[in-house]
Amino acid sequence: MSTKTACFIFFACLAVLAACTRNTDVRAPAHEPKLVLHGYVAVGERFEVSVGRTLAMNVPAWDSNALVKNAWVLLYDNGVFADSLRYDSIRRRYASNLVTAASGHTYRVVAGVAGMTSVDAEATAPEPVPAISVSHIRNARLTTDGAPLNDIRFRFNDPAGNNFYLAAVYPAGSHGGFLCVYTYEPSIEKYTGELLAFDRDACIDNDEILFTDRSFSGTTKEIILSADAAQMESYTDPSGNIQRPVLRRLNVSEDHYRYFKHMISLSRDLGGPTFTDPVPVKGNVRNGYGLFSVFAASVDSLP
Amino acid sequence: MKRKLLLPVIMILSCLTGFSQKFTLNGYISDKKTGERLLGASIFIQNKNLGTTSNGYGFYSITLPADTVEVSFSFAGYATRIEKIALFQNTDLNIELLPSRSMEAVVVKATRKEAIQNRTQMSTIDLPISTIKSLPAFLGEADVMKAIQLLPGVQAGSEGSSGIYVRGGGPDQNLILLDGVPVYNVSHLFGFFSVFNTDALHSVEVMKGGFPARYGGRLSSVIDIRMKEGNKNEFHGEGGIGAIASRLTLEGPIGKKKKVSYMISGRRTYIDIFMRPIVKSQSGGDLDAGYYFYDLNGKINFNLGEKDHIYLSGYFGKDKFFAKEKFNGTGMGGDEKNTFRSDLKWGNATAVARWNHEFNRKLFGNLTVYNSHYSFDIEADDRSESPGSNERYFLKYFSGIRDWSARYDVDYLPNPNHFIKMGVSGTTHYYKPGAIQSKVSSASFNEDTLIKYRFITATELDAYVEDDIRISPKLKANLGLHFTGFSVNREFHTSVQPRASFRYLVTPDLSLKASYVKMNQYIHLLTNSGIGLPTDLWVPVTKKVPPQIAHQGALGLAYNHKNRYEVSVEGYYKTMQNVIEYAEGASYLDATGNWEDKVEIGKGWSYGMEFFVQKKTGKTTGMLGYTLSWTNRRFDNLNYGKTFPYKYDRRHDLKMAVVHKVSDAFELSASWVYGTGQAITLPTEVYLDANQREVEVYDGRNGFRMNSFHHLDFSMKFSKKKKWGERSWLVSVYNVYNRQNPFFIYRNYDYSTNVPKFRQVSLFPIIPSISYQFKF
Repeated sequence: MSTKTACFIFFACLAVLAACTRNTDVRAPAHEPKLVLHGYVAVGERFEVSVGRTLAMNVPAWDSNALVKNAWVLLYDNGVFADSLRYDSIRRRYASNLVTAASGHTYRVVAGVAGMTSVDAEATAPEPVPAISVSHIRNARLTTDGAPLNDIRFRFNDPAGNNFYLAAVYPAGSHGGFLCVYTYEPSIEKYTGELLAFDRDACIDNDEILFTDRSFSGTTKEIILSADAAQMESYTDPSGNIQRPVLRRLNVSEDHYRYFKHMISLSRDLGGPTFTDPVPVKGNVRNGYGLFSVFAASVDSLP
Repeated sequence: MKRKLLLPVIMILSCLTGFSQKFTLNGYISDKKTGERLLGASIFIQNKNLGTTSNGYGFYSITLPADTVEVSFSFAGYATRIEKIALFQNTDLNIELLPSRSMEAVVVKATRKEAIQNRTQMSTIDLPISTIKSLPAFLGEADVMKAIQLLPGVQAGSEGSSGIYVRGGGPDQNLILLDGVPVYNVSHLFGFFSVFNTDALHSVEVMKGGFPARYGGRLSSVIDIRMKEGNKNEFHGEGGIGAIASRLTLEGPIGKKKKVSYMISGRRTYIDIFMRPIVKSQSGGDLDAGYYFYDLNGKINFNLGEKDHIYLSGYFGKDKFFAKEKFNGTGMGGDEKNTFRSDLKWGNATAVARWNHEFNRKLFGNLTVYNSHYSFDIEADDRSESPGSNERYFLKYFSGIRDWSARYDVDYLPNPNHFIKMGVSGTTHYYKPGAIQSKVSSASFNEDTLIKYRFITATELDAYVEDDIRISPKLKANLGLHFTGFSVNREFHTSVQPRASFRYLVTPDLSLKASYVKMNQYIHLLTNSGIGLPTDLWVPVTKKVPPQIAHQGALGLAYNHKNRYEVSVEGYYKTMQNVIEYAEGASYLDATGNWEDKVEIGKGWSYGMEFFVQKKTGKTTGMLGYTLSWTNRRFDNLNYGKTFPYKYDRRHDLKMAVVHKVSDAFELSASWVYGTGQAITLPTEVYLDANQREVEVYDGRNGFRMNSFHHLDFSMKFSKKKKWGERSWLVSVYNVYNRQNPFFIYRNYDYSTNVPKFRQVSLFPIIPSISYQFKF
């Protein structure tokens, strides 16, 4: 066989093979549905939980598929039956009309539905941790690209033992508004690779400020947060009320803290599936998924 | 001083060898054409069934009772030379071997280094550079690391990458030596190419187990790559112009006495040359951006007489992404000129000086002093100029590692039954696990900040002794001890690592081999990808993150069929302690905080069986390797404390490569690889959280298998002799049948049906390439 013939045969085969492109099907892993329980209750509020079910990976995750409306949900207070929660079709949650969360009490929720394994979760309501002082300092610093930032400083006495906190800073007049928060504070969890604390890319979502007392347990601690100055200005609304920015702090359980941290990690792009191993979200629901938590909240309007 | 210390050792060993009338035959073995010394060449006394090998610098020595002996000198790819020597006095004999053309190789009596069944060492494969160059090449660039991936027991990382995973080990557990100097990051262009330019290389040896005591510092493999010494006889050159890079290598003697020779080699990509005009035209001329990498290898060696030789060699390589943007605008102060420059660069630099000295006929010493440096820098420089105002914001992130080391090795060959090696070394490691410098300046403000700047200095001391002992004509053993002391952050770690290998000749062509090694590693690599990203960080052991320790045992058979086929079958079991993984939820993108808090410490183990056949002679040469293996990891805080398969656990791994020389002018080659799909973590179910966000549930880490991985590569080489030398056209095709191999899998919604699906991302379709090569 001459070289020319060999080349011709080779390139002809190549052309045929190149046309054989095909897509590969990837089958979804096997699935057995489990119950999902969510309940985040502040001290002083009535109990309210949602019940859902897990879905296979090739099923759309919509409310209509995922919510369970025919479950039974029982609430225990310090080990004693307290109430049977009823389904509220408007709020799409199971609510108690009798029981309000109180600090120091341990609550247990048990939920079930026919044909599925029942689930249960337990949470102890913590004591609130009020601020000793809260201050708001205008134009205290600049971002790395020169935008002015206000400082929000708050001091509090951290109780003995391990404590876990969630904090949120809301712009004036908006408890749902988005705001970038920056900090040098090492105890605050950061989710970006940005090294400069005041770079735009180091922005922490205003309602995703998580910190633990690992480095200051049982002492008086001051936390300094910085936020866009323009959004931190108070104003008078058309009704004549003064709208101020708000600092909200939650004293939460370790389960709650870990669950939120994992949820935040999930919502961030950590480099794509090639480069990271996914974060398993761990709640405190036995035999199922989700989180049941009772927390203590403190809210301060900023001067 | 060193001589004084050595004297008692030598005296004791001399006593053991007895006082009968014996004489030593010694010298150097070199390539007749180039004058380069041949390491690992076989010296065999035909009528006495005794032998030895040349050491890492071509030196050999054998002491025998007075007699007339027939000595055969052989080396892979060279014609065997047989000399009849009347050994009635100590004799110096330097041997030059003539390379045999592979077409003729079938008629050569023996064409290998010490034949596989005779070597004590197991789990070791020599990869001739000529074989590496003949294999099909991705984008026309022959690559050492890709050739190593074709060996059994070596798993490739992601498709196209040059990362390797040996017998269940991690990417940090490979000791990759270039002229004896560790190279920390062997990847260019995110691992698609390695830093080794094959034109500059002389030999490649891969060890997967049974490590002799002279090696230490990594758990899973040793890849010993040597650069060419440079032709001592004539000036020569070779090079190539490929699809993405060009290269040129020059070598030759310096001076008429041929006592000095040099080799210099360079390679550079030209992706930027094509990319820059496109980027400029797309951006209206404001943006200038591109990427390139380059390598420079150099070596010079001085023959200072019969007993001394000095080698100086170095490597320098860099990858660079760059972008520069200029734009004008109007600010508060009037017209503004803005420039933004951003660079991302990383690379290795090594420099080594070696001094060989032959103390006497039986004692050879080598002093090595080296420096190895890996650095990764990101720079961003933003300037704004307007009348009366100049503002600048400059940011630099840098990380890296630098080693300074000195070692002294001694080879002592008292008689044919012993080949003793011993040595000591001291290394200082400077770790830079990430630092950042920020400069902000304007008319009213100046700030220069350096944060997280923390060098960690560690000192490592190593000592070893090993002896390749011929216990009987059938039984040989290589016994050794490697001692390490590692001092970091006021902590001192020590370890004694026993090494033992045995070879028993069942028949003259078949041997049974066994080995046990303990290895320690005092360095960890923080990586999420394992594909050689420049952001990978080398960090030392700490109190919280202790040294990695491995124990490996192997048992195997080695068979040599008529000097044409080499066959080996090996089974191994390896355990690894203190391996690290990122903690769940920790992001490698988050450079804040302490790295120790982001990792988990656990253990791993791997076991399996490897089968390898190699045909090194004849018109058709090639290799076939199959591995059946299991690799697992267990961490208290990962996967709920349950055992999970390692990402690169691959049950079946089959590789084959064939080179067929049709004629002097035409050569065909093909390679095919098949591997069980990579283990990945996929969600098994999904639920909605309280805010109706989807939360995916991961049942088990690496519990899902991607589709199997396989591709066929093919190449044809057309060569022609010219007056000035030889030119070749190399046509290569990667992934001939256009297999869509999985790179990763993700879940998304098919919007036409509103049903979520897992989708597979594949990287490389069929990729043809052509390159031009020349030699003179």
